[in-house]
Amino acid sequence: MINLLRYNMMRLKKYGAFKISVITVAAVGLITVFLEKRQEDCYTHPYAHTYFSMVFMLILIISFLAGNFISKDYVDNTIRNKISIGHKRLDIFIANHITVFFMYILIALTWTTFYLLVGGFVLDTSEINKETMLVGGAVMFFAILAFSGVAVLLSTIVKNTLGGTLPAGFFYATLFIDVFNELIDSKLLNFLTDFLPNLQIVSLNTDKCDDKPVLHIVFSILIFIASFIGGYSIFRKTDLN
Amino acid sequence: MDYILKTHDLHKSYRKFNALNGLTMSVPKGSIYGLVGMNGAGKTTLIRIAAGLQYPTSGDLELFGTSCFDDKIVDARKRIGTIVETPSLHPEMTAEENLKMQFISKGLPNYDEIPKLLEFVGLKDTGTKKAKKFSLGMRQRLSIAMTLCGDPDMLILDEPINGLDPQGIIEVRELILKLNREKDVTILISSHILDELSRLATHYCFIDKGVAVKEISAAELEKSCNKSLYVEVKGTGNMSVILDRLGYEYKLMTDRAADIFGDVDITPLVMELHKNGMDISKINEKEESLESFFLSVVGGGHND
Repeated sequence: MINLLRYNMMRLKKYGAFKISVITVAAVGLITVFLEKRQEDCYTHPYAHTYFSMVFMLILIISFLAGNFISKDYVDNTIRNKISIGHKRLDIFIANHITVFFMYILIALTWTTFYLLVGGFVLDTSEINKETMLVGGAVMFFAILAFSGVAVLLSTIVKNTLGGTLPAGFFYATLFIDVFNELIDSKLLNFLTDFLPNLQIVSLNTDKCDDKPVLHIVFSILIFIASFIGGYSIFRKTDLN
Repeated sequence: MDYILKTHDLHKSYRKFNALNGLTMSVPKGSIYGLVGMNGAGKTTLIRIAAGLQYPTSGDLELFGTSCFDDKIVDARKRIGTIVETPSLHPEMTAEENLKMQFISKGLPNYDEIPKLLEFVGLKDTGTKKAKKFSLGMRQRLSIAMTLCGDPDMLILDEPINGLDPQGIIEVRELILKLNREKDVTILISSHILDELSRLATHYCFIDKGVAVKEISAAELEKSCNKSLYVEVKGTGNMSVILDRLGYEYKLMTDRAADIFGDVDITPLVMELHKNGMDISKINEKEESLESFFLSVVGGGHND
């Protein structure tokens, strides 16, 4: 397992688009703090709104990068190098999950560091609702877990370049549920708004504290478990070329 | 005899197509085992199952005595190096980086062997060139280098000389022979280039429609490939009378030419023919090639 993780980290080091993303997020964080500082006297900053809005956009981008990271192993057929030298399929699958989760968390941490923490020293944060941020942060963490599970599942099932873009496409397409939910009063749409991790994070953009954090976290954990079990049950028996 | 790889009634089906139909074969330890068969015969399917990329529909494959259905098969696979069809390389990485990835994956502690491997396969001067810019021959060489990481006990090579120039083919052949003779590495090799295979293999398995129609050692193959002496004479004598008197098995091509089978003592033959008014105008040794033997085995009849 440790060799597989080292292998994936080596691949990640070479993944130019991901490295650029991390640097860009850091830069955007600093720029955002700078711009908000300039306007500090004009209005009270919706700290939570800015923070969680950006997290949501970053997660969509990383879904694309993470999906491509996994699917590239199939496109280049380098996955057979791992299997043919004796790595268990379960170990390969777990290593992929850990790596993808790491990708999401690294981006979220970079944004958190350069916006939230640097901003904490530079901006007036006296009106930040700490409970909103902490609860939202916990929901966000588990939503990211669910995101990573779905990303690995989709890119494992569709073992080509389409599989790389499917996670981002799925999360983007399901955003419309939130739009429909504004227009139609439906129990199903209400349920999906609570259930899907991308819509959970969208609901954090309101600067109000999440009123169903436990439910959202449980749903995220269930999504992760289901995507792990589903993904592995397919992967363990898949014929590879 | 010890066998490194054995299959028992191996079947592999893909929806309506049966790639393997009860393949039973055994690769002796220390051999260079040639898999011979037409396109679609099942060679690559067998190699994929041996490499763990696919599972049999039924039957079994054993590697170092471990069944492919046993969890411990992963330990057995750590002892092999495999090339399956096309090279599996990271296109954005250099040759050295690709080898490093293989070392990391295998948990090999240091990378000192990498320059030696690159030199061995003729890629030491590739520098910062990415694998996506390599020619097919270069990619094939790098694949071979990757199979050699960690000193495997067995190599499974699917068309390893694809895309190689004549010099490269010779180098790979010498490498295979060296590994086999000096390090007792068992090698399973499939190739369409039968002439090249005939210079390497100590054993053969002829596969047709997913079944092993014949397993034979190189020594037995040589006996089976009918050697004959073609003799053409001029003169007035009766050739067949002389050949019958000398007790040779032969086949008359014309009344002046014959294929004589078995070990032929040439001097007495020539003298006897001359005594009876016939002089040799043409004499040469003929041998059934691996190609013709292969065709006789899979192309219409079984050669028992």
